[in-house]
Amino acid sequence: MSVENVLDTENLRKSYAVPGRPQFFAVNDVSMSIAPGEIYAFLGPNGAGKTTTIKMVSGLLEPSTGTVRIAGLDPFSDRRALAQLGTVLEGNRNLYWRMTCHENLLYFGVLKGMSFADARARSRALLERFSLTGKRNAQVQALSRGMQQKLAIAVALMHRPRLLLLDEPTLGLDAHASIEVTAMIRDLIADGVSILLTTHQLDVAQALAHRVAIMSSGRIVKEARMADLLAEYAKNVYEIQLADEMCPERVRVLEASYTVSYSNQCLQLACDADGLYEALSIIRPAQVQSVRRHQSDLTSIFIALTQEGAPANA
Amino acid sequence: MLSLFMIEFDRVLRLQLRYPLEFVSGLLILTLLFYGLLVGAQHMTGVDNFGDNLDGIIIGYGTWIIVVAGLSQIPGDIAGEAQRGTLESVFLAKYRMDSIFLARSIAGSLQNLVLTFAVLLLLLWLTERSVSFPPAAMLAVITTILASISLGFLAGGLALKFKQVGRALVLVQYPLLFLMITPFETMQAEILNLSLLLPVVPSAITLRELTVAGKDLGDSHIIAALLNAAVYLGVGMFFFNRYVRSVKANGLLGGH
Repeated sequence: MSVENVLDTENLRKSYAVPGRPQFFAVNDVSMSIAPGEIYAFLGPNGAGKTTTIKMVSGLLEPSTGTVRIAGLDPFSDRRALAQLGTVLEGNRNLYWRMTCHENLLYFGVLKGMSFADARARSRALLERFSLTGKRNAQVQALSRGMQQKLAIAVALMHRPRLLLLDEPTLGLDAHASIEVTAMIRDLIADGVSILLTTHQLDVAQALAHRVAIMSSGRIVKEARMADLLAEYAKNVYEIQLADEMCPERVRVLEASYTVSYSNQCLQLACDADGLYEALSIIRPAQVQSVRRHQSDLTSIFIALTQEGAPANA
Repeated sequence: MLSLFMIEFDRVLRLQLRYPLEFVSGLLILTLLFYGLLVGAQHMTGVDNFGDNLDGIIIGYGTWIIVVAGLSQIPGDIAGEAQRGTLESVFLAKYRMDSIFLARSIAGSLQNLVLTFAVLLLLLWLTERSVSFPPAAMLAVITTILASISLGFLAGGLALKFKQVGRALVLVQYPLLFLMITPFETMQAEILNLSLLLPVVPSAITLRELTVAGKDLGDSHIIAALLNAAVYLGVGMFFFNRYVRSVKANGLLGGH
């Protein structure tokens, strides 16, 4: 474990005894760490163990074995650890609906140990930052879902936590609100906040996360930097767009050596990097307009890793 | 801790002022309930005038209102927070759960005290009775509040573990009403001494002694009331904390 990390978990396990059945592991041997200013996407299908892990990280559920440290502090024995933690656990259901935006901010700020004066000043600043100043005295039940979600994130940020747990932050939001909240989350990194993000909206995770862990059946089956993961799963398929039609003879030469398809002046070529150069020498002198490697996306990687029979720790 | 109490009191006050109809409906329901019981009792017994006993019954009824509020506050809060989805956020506060719910209960009881006094005044006016309320009686009110909060902690612990306890709490209210209006202080010494072991009963006895019987504080059962409230509060918080640890160990938070 590193004291520099905002979050460290080691070998977290949560098991439940079911009479007459083998012990059930909801979470099995999960270790992760999050550095300051990092967005860590924690993904998995329903029932994979994400929520159980999140609850153990936040101190709401004691692990059967293993350790959690938030900024070096144990959230189960040292309540100062909770002062480093902000949470938006289930969308907008973290707010008192009969209270106003300011009242919610003030209440949860004081509950996190802030003084009244500090909480009032922080409330003012966050309402302004999240464009909610005009809604300061509006009851939560009167806000749009997007505004409620922004307020929930503001509430979680009241006490200036170092680690923010965001559970499905864009769920149920319309496109505009989703884009706004996504941008807001990205901006938080500038403040040095680290984020543990769980979501089923994989495009959001791909757009935001620096690192990603994919969980299945209680275990992390893949953990990597987002860019590395996308590169690792990028297929060796190149799309070569030509300016003119290629002569059929050269196409046949290519077909003899590669898996290739050709139509509308566009070649789809399956080969490695060396093969690409050889293919280009065959194509020459036809004019090449563009060469593009097939891009993988998080969704296809996620499905590949979490479908039944996928190897653990791939 | 003072900040915690202040923010809870602030929250209670704001919501009270925002929804005044809840206060008015509470006042009417509690007054009509007592009046209905009184008229029913007069009809069934054929006794039109309960005499000084009525004063004691009215004070006992007021004590019961305080007790029911203290009993219901924590389990009601827990069930409501779980349904709203805010219970986890409360559990992630800087403060211990027992401190938060103690502060909430005290703030809620102070709010309820206004309602209780309003109900008592209305009942005394309707029944054309009067009782004295010396400042020392506030001490018995405080012990009543603390003892009833101890029951709230026990019920709150059960709400954490068993989730839905609302109906069970309704059932408990009626034996409590019986305990609060029974004049144990006029019974044999053995019965009186045993009754002092029951929750809140010494506080109810002390309140009647000070307001109806006109006794001095030194002649009342205030020491028993203080001890009773302190012991029950300690026991209630102990069990509540055990249930908090249990839900954290077994993942039972929420699901109400």
